[in-house]
Amino acid sequence: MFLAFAYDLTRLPVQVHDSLGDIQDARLAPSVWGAFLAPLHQEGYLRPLKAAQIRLVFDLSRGHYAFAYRAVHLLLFGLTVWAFTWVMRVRTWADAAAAGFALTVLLGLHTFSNLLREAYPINHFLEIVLFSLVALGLAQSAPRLRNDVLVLVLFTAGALVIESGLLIWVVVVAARLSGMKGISLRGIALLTLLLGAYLGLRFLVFSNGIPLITERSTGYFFRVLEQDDQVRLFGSRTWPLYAYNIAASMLSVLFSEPRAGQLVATAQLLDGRVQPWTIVALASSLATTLLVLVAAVHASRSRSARDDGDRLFVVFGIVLVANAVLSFAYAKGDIVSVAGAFYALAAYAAVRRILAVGVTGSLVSAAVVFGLLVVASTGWALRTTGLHYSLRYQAFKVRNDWVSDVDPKWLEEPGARAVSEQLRRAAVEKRVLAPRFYPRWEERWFEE
Amino acid sequence: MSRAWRVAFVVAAVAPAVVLVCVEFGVLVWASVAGHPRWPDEHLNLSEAAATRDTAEMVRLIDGGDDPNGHYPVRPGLVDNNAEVHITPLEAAIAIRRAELVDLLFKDGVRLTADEWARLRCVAAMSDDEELIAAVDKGGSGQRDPSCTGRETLW
Repeated sequence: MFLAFAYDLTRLPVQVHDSLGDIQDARLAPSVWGAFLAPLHQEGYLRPLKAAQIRLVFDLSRGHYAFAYRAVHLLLFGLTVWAFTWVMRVRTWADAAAAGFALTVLLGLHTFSNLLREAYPINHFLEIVLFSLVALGLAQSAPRLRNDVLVLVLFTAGALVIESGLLIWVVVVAARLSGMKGISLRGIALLTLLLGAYLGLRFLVFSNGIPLITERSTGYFFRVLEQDDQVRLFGSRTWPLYAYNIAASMLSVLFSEPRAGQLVATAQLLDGRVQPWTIVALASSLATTLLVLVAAVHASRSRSARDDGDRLFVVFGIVLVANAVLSFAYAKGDIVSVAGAFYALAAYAAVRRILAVGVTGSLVSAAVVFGLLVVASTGWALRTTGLHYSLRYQAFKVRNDWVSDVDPKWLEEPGARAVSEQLRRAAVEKRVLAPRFYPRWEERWFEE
Repeated sequence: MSRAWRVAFVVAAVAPAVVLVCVEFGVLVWASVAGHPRWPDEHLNLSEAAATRDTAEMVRLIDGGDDPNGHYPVRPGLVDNNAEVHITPLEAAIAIRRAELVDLLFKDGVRLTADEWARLRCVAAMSDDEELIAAVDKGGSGQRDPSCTGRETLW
C-alpha cells in the first residue's frame, strides 16, 4: 500500500501556494539558525522550526530543491505508515485483520489525504501526525527514561514547527489517563513545564498572540466566509465563529461532514444532486463512528482487564476534543489530521474488539454489526482507492499553477528567479494526464 | 457468538482491504512492465493541450520548440468535434472559451494575419464571453471590430 501511494507522491510537484513564498523566505535568511530566528515575532504564529527545516533541506539539496522536498514528503509518509502500524501492536490474526481495516481508514479519511495532496516544501501537519503517533507508541511501551527524553524532544520540535505540535502533550496526557504508563509522571511534569514555557514565550516574550479572523477564509454552513465577511458578520464578537469551527472540526472527523467548515454533503442533498463519493464518505464514516461507539461502550462495561487497544478509545476522545479546540480560528482538514489518525486507531480498536470478543445479544445485533462492517470496510477501501485519483488531479492542478500563479516578485531578483525557475521546470517537466481524459465514473465516485 | 459469525465478521472487515492490496500489487506489477496505468504517458500536441486546459504541457511543448502557430490534429470530443480536426492551439483555446489560454498563447508568440484575426474575433464574439473577446482583441494589434456574418467557424 505504501509503495502504491509513494509512486503517486513522486509524481506530485512541489506546490506554488503556501510553498514558494516559504522557500524564498527561508532562502533569504542568512543560515538555518537565521531562518529559525526570523519568524519569532510573527503575529499570530510561532513556527520558527518550520522555517529552519525548510532552509535546512534547501541547503542540503545542493540545488535539487524539488527532489529534496519531495523526498522529505515521501520519507514522512513512510515513517507515518510505519508509526501507525507500530502503535497498533498487532499480535493476533484478529489484530491483523483489524489493522488492515484501520489502514484504509487512515489513508481514506479526508484529513489524511490532505496531508499527501498538499505538497508543501515540508508538510508540517504530516510531521505532527508522525510525532503524535510516535509519542503514543512511547507511552504504550514499558517505562524507560529514554521514553521521557524522546517525548520531550518530540514536543519541543513539534510545538516549534506548528501549533498542532501542542497535541503531543495532549496525546501523552491522554495516554496516561487511559492507563498507558510508558511515560513517567516526572516526564509528564517536565512536558507540562515545557508547555508552560511555550505559552510564556508565545504570549509574553514574543507576543505572537493568536491568529486573527482576518487572516484566512473559512467554511461556514453553506458558504466560504472570506476575511471581510468574517469581520462584517462577527466583528469583535468572534466566539460564535470559533464555536462553529470547533464543532465543525469534530463532526468532520466523525462523519466526514462538514468539509473545511462547509456543509458540502448537505448542500448536495438540498440541491438534489448527491454525488456517489459523498454517499460513500458519509456512509463509511457513519458506520465506523457507530462501530467505535458501540465497541467503546462495550469496553467500558467489560469486566475483563483493558488492554492498549481498548485504551485507544479514551485517547482518541481526548485528542479529538483538543484538536478541534485548536482549530478554533478556521476549519481545515489538515488541522484535524492528528484527530483523524487517532480516529483510524479507534476504528482499529473497535474492529479488533468485535473480532476478538464478538457481539453479545440477539441475532439482530450480530446482523447489524455485520452490516456496519460491510459498509465501513467497503467504503474505506473505495475512499483509499480514490486517493490515487485525488493525487493525480492535484498533480495536474499544481503543475499548471506553476505556469499561472507564481508571484512576479519571486521572478525579479536573480537568486529568487533561479530558485523559482528550477522548481517550475521540475513541475512542468513532469507530464500529468489532464482530467479531461479521466473516466467519467471516477469524477462521480472519487473526491478531488 | 457462533464460529460462523466470527468468520463472517472477519471477512466483512478485511475482504475489501485484501482486494485493495491485491489490486494495488497488480497495478505496481503492471507499472513495472508496461507503464503505470494510473499515470499514463499520454502524448498531447499543442492544440490538444490547449483543448484540455493543460497550460503546463503547452509551456513544455513551446519551450521544447513546438510552433504555437502550427496546426495540430485534435482527437474527437476534445473541442466539441465529432471527428479529428486540424486546428491551431489558439483555435482550440477559443473553442473551449478560455481567455487565459488565449493570453498565454499571444504571450508565447502566436501571430495572426488580419484575416485570421477577424475570423477568430467573430467566433469569439458569437460566444458572448467578454473576457474571451477582450483576450482575442489583444492579438488584433489595434485592428477595428471586423464585420461578422455570424457564419464564421473554427474548422
